Amino acid sequence: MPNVTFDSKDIERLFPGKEFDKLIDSIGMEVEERKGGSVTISVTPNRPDMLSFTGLMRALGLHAGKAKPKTYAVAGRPALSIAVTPAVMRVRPFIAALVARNISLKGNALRYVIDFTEKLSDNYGRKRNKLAMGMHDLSAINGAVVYDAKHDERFVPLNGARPMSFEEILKGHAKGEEYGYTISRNGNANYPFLRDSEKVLSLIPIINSDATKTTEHTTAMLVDVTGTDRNAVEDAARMTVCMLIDMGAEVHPVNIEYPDRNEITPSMRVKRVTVALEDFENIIGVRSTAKKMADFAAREGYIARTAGKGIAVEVPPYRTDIFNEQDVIEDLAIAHGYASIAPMPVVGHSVGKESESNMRRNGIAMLMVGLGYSEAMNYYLSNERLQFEMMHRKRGEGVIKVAKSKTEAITMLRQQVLPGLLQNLSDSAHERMPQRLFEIGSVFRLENGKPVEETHVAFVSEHSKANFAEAKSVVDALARYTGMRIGYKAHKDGAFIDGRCASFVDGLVGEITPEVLESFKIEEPVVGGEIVLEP
Amino acid sequence: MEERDLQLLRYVSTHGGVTLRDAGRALGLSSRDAQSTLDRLEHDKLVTVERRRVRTVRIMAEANRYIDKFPEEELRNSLLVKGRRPDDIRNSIALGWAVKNGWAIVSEGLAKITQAGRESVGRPYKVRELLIKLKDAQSDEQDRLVRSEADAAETLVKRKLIAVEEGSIVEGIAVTREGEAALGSKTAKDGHEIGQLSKELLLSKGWKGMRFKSYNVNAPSETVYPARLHPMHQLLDKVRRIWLDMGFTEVEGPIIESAFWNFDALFSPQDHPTREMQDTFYLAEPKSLDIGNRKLVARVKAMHENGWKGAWDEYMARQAVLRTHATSVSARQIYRYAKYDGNDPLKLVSIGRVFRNESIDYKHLAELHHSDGIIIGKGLSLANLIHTLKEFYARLGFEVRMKPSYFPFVEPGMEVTYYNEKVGDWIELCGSGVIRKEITRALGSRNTVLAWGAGLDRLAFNELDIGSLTELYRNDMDWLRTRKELGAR
Repeated sequence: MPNVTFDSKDIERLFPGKEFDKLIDSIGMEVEERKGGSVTISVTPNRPDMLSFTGLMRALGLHAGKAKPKTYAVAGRPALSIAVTPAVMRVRPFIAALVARNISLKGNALRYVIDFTEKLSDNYGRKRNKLAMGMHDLSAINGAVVYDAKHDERFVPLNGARPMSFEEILKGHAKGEEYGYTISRNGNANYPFLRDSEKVLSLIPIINSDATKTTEHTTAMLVDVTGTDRNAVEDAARMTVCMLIDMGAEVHPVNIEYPDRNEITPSMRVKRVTVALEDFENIIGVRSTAKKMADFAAREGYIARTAGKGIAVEVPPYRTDIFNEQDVIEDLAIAHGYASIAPMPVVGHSVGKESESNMRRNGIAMLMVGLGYSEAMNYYLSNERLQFEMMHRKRGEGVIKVAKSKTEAITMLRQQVLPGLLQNLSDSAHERMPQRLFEIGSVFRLENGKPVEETHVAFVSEHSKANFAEAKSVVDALARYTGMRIGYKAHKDGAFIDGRCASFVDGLVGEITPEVLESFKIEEPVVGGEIVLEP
Repeated sequence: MEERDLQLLRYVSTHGGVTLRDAGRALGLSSRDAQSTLDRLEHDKLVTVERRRVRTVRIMAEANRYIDKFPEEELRNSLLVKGRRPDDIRNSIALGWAVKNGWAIVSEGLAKITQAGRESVGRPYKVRELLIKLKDAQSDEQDRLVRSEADAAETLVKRKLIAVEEGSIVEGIAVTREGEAALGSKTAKDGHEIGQLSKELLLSKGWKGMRFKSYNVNAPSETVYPARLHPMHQLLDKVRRIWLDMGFTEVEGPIIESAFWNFDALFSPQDHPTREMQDTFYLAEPKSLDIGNRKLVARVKAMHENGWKGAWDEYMARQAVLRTHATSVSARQIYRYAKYDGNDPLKLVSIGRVFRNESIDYKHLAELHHSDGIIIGKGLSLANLIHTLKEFYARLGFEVRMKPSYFPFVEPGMEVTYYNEKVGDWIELCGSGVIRKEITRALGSRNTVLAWGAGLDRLAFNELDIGSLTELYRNDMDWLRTRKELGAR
């Protein structure tokens, strides 16, 4: 979940004292930490609109009943046009833009707005691939704006000292290294960028030009949203419009001239949803009225009116997560307050039933404990070294391998339980003998291209007099208990001493070889076995 | 001290210079019991024992058949009647010894008796006489016999009828000062105190009228370590028992799962960050899995394309992953019970491992235990879900609070948290909600489904005194042997 950090002072001005924490909690977000005059809040991924200070405060104000929901609209005719070239259509085909005037970016406002565009581009925009945003001081833009793609151009990147070529930025600039992948993944040598009649405005989605840098003195700006996903681009533009309007700006549309059509952006179309009282009552489990529902809806930003036995709402344009009435119902419940939903027992007959396989596993566990074996529980994730090399076994067939792991010791799912138990003995070398361990758990292998999960029981016994007969008695006891028929046959296995290892229908038993004990640094004799419980 | 030990000690003390054999007989002990009793007294330094090294004789089983007559004596007697052809004599060893003893000769193909043979009849046969004596003798007498009748003894050894072994016999027993002191303290209390109660004492009613020795109840006793179940096993059983008590049926599902069941069937968008490799274990072998039913796949595809307004790639859905939550099991169960139309709710729960591609530290493991549950039925509500989860956590000892939260597959979504005093903050226990109807419909069900996924490993912090989750799976022998019961501090 993305985190956003704001100055405590800015919050205090709107929600003094403990009120803020309570509100944050009741709308389902979380205060992550408070440190040195700032507060970090974690925002669930369905609410990117709350990644901006303005958006979060708006939601809290509405929820607290301090503000009323409102409609958001862009003003007048397009403030400017952006031409889209066929070259960029092949690389990053969607763009929306807006012009904001009479904006104040004083104090922390500029930082909050930049943070919002970056967080939105990273999270909702999936690391700037789906969408990315740029902000330009409108007064620094001259002439017609073009959204283009070319192999190379030069400009001074934001806060940079000298002009750099696109290639240089991709290879030598931190942002280029981080986001250059969005271009290279298209296999296209043309980089999308924005220019006016004289200069590059930004290399998209990597970095803006220093020439159009927004500062706290900026009062008018051009915001562009570009991307590979039309819906995401439109959503981000709408969210931005709402934020800027709530910041006091006047927002004007921008005309986009695609090679084959014109579009006026951002599209501020409003989604309408109706919710029946019955559905709200049934899903949440509360008694309510259409009037109450409308009040709840208003507290979550909807323009709502009662309609028959229920309500009709207009979804605020900054919301991207409202698919249908279920999502509205959740918001009504949030306004109602989860804490005040009275718990109701589930009505109807039901009888508990443990799974057969768990009953069986537990029965065998109790038998093993009765035989003096303590239970171990090891990871299912393992590696070839433990599973095969240290066991002096040939690398097994049908290994189930993980593709990529953050931990070096994880490369595969275990095929046998025994190696883990030997590792446990090795780790407990200093403890009193005898040491007896067993484990019941899943093992995995590939058979005819299909994964197979099996339950095994394995056991080990380590002490100075451990011998084959001791281990075999355990298998005998298991066989008596399960009714498993076993005919022992002399068997050869890398982990067991030749002549002291037997196989039977579903397993192996024997004395572990000194070589294997050495590889585990075990200093006393060990016997053990492994048996398939459930194929 | 055992009663028997006390009796022997008293006997030796009152009968100076007594032999072990006599003392044993007087007390009605077998020679083996007498010996072990004496060994104990000596070990406890209550007596000193003087021993002499002797050779003792073990009589072999075969010898018992010869006590009355050796085979060569039998052959000799038969030859008194008439000579026999050696081939007709079955026991060639008997003939050998008869010839060696000078009782018989073989000439002209016939074994015949000699004069010495005739004269030996009715006289004692030295070898047999020795055997008889040895059989009845005590060790010290046996020692003397094998020395004085060395030839005959050698013959018996050679014929494997006896074995001569090195041993020792008790020459003298003397009660030590400690022994007298022990005796003094016993006799002072009217001479009859029982130490270890024995089967003999019980059967003979020998305990009647005797006192039981008082033990020092503060004396340290041996530390023993019982074999035990793994604490996580006990914790999982506890969780399972609560669900069973609440009327849930336990279900299971595969750990190796297709992205389809783990993500797609649960409306997780294909470009969702949790689906990326750094969070999910994708498999290199097998890379992909069958996802079955074409109609189901088509419905899930439509759900994604209508909902997320983007293309849905079946290839991505086929990718094999290690399940990241057991909600995949719940999804399969919703599909399995798609046609369920009963009035009573179906309550299903799974308890099993889930996998996250995490860097492992004290509170993050790559493998976790989850308990995912669903209630399938008509007219189920968030209020029902709250009741169910409050009840579950109350039984685990948690006072919980519900707050809104977000998971792509539920709407409304709810998080269950509790206040952790140690941390000074609310800690998440469980994610839950009402499954989106797009999902239940795509899985073929017209019912309402309440669902949750509860992490169980962190409960271990509460139930077991551990500082790090990694301790749970280290299987340290000392910890397995000595840890306290669940919930104990």
